[in-house]
Amino acid sequence: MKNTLILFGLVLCFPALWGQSFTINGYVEEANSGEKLIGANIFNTINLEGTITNDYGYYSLTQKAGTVELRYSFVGYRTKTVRFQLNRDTTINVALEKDIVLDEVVITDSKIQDKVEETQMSITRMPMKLVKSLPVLMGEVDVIKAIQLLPGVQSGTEGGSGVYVRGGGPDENLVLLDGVPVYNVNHLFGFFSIFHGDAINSVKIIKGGFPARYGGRLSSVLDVRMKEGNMKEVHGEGSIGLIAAKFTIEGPVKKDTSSFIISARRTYIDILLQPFIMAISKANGGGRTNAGYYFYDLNAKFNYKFSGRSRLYVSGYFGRDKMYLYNKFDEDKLKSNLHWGNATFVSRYNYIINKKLFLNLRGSYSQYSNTFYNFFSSIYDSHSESFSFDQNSQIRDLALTLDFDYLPQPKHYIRFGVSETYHTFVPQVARFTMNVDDVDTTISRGFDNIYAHELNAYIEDDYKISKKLKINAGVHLSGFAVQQQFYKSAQARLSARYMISPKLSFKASYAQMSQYIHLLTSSHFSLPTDIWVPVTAQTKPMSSEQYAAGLFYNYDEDWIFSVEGYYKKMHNVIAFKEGANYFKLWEFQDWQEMLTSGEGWTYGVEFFAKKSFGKISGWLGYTLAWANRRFNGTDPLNFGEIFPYKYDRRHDIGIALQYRFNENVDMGGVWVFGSGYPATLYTQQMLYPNDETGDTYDYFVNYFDHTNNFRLPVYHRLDLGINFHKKTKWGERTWKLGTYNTYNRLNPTFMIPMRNWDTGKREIRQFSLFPIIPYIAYAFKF
Amino acid sequence: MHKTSSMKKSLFLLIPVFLLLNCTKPVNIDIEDEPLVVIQGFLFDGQTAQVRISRSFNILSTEMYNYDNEFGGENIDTNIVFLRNAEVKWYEDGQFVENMNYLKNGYFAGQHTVAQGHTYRVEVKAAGFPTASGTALIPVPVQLDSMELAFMTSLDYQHFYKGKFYFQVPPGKHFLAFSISGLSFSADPDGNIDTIESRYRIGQRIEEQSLNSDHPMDGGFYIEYETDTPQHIVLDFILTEYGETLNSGDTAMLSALVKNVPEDYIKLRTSLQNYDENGGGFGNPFNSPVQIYNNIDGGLGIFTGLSADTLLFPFVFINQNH
Repeated sequence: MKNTLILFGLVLCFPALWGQSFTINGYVEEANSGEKLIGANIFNTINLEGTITNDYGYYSLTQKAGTVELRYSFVGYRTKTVRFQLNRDTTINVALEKDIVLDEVVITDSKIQDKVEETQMSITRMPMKLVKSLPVLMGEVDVIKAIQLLPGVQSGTEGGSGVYVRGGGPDENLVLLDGVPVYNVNHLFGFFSIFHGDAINSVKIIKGGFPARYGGRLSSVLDVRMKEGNMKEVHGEGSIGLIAAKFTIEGPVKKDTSSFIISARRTYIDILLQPFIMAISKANGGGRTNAGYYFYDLNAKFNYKFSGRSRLYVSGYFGRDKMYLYNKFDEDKLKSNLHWGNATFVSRYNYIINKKLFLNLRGSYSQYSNTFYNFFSSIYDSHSESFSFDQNSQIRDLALTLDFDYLPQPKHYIRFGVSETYHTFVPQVARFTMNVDDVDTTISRGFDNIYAHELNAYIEDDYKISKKLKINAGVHLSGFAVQQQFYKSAQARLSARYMISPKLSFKASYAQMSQYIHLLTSSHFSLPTDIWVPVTAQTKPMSSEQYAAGLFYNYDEDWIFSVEGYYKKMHNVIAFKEGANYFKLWEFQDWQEMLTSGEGWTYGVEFFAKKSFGKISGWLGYTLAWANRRFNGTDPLNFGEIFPYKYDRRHDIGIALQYRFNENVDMGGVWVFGSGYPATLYTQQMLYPNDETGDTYDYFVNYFDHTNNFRLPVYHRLDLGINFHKKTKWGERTWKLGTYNTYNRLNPTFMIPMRNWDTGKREIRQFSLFPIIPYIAYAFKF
Repeated sequence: MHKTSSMKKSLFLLIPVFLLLNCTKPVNIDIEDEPLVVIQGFLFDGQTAQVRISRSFNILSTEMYNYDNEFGGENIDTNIVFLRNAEVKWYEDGQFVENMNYLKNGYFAGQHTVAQGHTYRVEVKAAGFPTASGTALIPVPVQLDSMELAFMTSLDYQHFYKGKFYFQVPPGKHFLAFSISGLSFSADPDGNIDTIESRYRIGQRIEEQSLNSDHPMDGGFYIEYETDTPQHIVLDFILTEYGETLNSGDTAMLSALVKNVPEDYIKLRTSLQNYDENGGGFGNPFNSPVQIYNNIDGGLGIFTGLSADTLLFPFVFINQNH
């Protein structure tokens, strides 16, 4: 480790050692909107050296003096070539124009060969254009649901937006929105995600081989970047679907200098149903009732270009889900609501210190909270009484991050940075108030707030050792101060790519990860009341080591095939103790008493085939995987024996296809198949061995021989959708029609043994949530 | 205008359709599991060997019940549940001793007296079931020398006492179960006293426990203790009495019990308690299923040895209101 740091120091301090060279730098952006292009390719055709733009569209390429011919390319855009004599440091900002011909038949995606040549493995960049064309639940474009179709990524329960990556838990994913961690990505109990497709610029998910700049979670990084806003002219788009309407508007504040984007979405099923609920309540003598559910999102972003060297981005997200019930019957009043949501705010400042050194300073705030409120009041015989109960839990982060990109020469791309996050955890606080004849009684109960500091520092270098061999080596240092305890870890990261042939590469990676926060979850569904808690003096940090290796093949510049194998070992993973569960939280004086910790293993093989061009495009992913857990400490589960993790899915297939008939009509299809998840079912009944005397009463207890002893039936589902586009005077409109679960497969959500009171017999019942669900939506763009 | 109107109509038509379809539907599936012999054997040092033999049933079965049609209740059909005709063989330290005979209520008994330090094995053969067997070592008893109990102060509306157990622990690793019977009591170890670490306690909340004479092993508390040499131990505890109608100055005879039990026994009791607290596994998908501990080869149940020591203790009731 020490040697590695010294090496990085040398790399940073003595760039001059690399000889007489000059640096070309600048931004690559879309010509029509000024939107920065992330991952655009810059390539010197003379010496075959190149680089790509970073997350802010910035690039830097140092070349020896002489003739240079730079080719700027990004899939879906016309390639631009610039030829010149390099005899001093040069700044070239390039605007690429959309390739109209290509745009009609391709999905926007990065170049196939880049995927083969890049060092990073276990990464997928989601093409938003394809995501938008795929059929989805109730017509709501959902990035998370598209990601669930990738190999190594699984959904949890039916219809859910849970993400389980390579055998990891739902809290092991670092979800970043413009670089800010988001703690709850779900709306409506996980059936929808918070990401509004029209406001998103790029999405990528990393499942392994994590670069050193990422840390804090064991299993994945989901990096979502919002659009910046059109610098040239005002544009808007929106849609009206079965349950929600949304609208996005973007444009320049001052042309080519500053821009904004504002995006909003709201469901309206509560408004539509309100008359029915009131009528039914009235007809049944239930008094005046108003009840419903809705959620909304608001994304906003503003960016300002101070000069060619500095730029400011300010963005925020605010979203809420709300369930409410109000009833008035004579003098009785009932008011109840549950609301939850995220709020994020981030301000980023980009500054080009010199042509080789790019700085990003970020200050951010992220909050997730949920609140439940219940109130009842009544008046009888001139006495009044009222009861209220409110409960709140939340997590708040204040963070400051400083990142640098340093490109001393084409062979090296060095990133380093530091960050500090101040966490505030409010695990759960409740207050019960009773008022009888104007006399108040209040009882408060809850867990104490926990405050913690999380420190991170990293350095990594993407180093091209030779034409065939390239590595990304780095180290991520982290520390977590909580309850007079300081946990620290140094995590080594290494990825390597070797070009076996120009079209075929072999990649391997190793990554250590640490995680300092946990989610106490009900496990069956993503409930808004799930609670984020930190490691404490008692609950130790989770950690993992992941090994991965794979082959990547570019076929005909159109197809990419990859096969990856991985093995991940996890330590200090947590679970509820036997007999404890989320709904018994209040019975424990301390939430830590509910938990037990153990270890996990997960391994598997992932196959991925993707076609990016032509009338038909899409991908096929297949995963063969195993995920096991063992809790054999002080509070063992399954009596200390190994058992399959609840999301251990042996076979998982995801197919996403888009077929473009012509410029007016395209069709999307999704088919998913997954082996049944494990479940624990009682299989036997026996007399209760009540005590040693044998004199006590008898009754039967249920028995199973090991945890997760049963498999739910296989899951499979077909979604189909068709989109009709039409150019209009004012822009473009699209009608979207489709069905979720087209052949009406009743997929399992959970099973429980029940007694059928009609027949007197017992039966195991499988519960399913979604049968065939048609959707229709109208979208427009101007 | 026309298009907007059509769209609204479509929305209003589709939403009720969606709501109608979006419902939960049960699906019946089969589950197969062969029934097994169930052995319940708690062997006390110095007592005659006795085990209870019954059978298990598939989770979906209801054949072990006689239905009371009038009230809709379920009664256990002991003719089906207990395996009266089973062949039950008894072994001591690997040597066959005797065949046990059926007594009543599922119990089989032999002539042999169980003794500490010996290992016993029971083997059960019953037609239609795999052979089941269990093995148990009778632990060395812990000697309960004396006990103290002192009224301290009132705790809400309950009577609150501090007590001490004085006992001797032989070398080895022990799981000790303490309980008091004679009145309605709750007992709780009072911190880590004399290096004893409180590890197991049945019941998360002490106020919900009851120790009474009908259920000497309900409630109480468990400790784990390991020593290389014999030890004299003092264990402090808190005793909370409630629900009795004694007058101040009345005397009751209490029975203090300490049992030396194997870890198997602790696992069984803990799992049973978790099971009870978790609703027994029927009807609520959010309940975590709880695995009841089993140490029977080829079958289900528990076969374990215990040694116990009892101390009678005269208790003078103090009424805090007087």
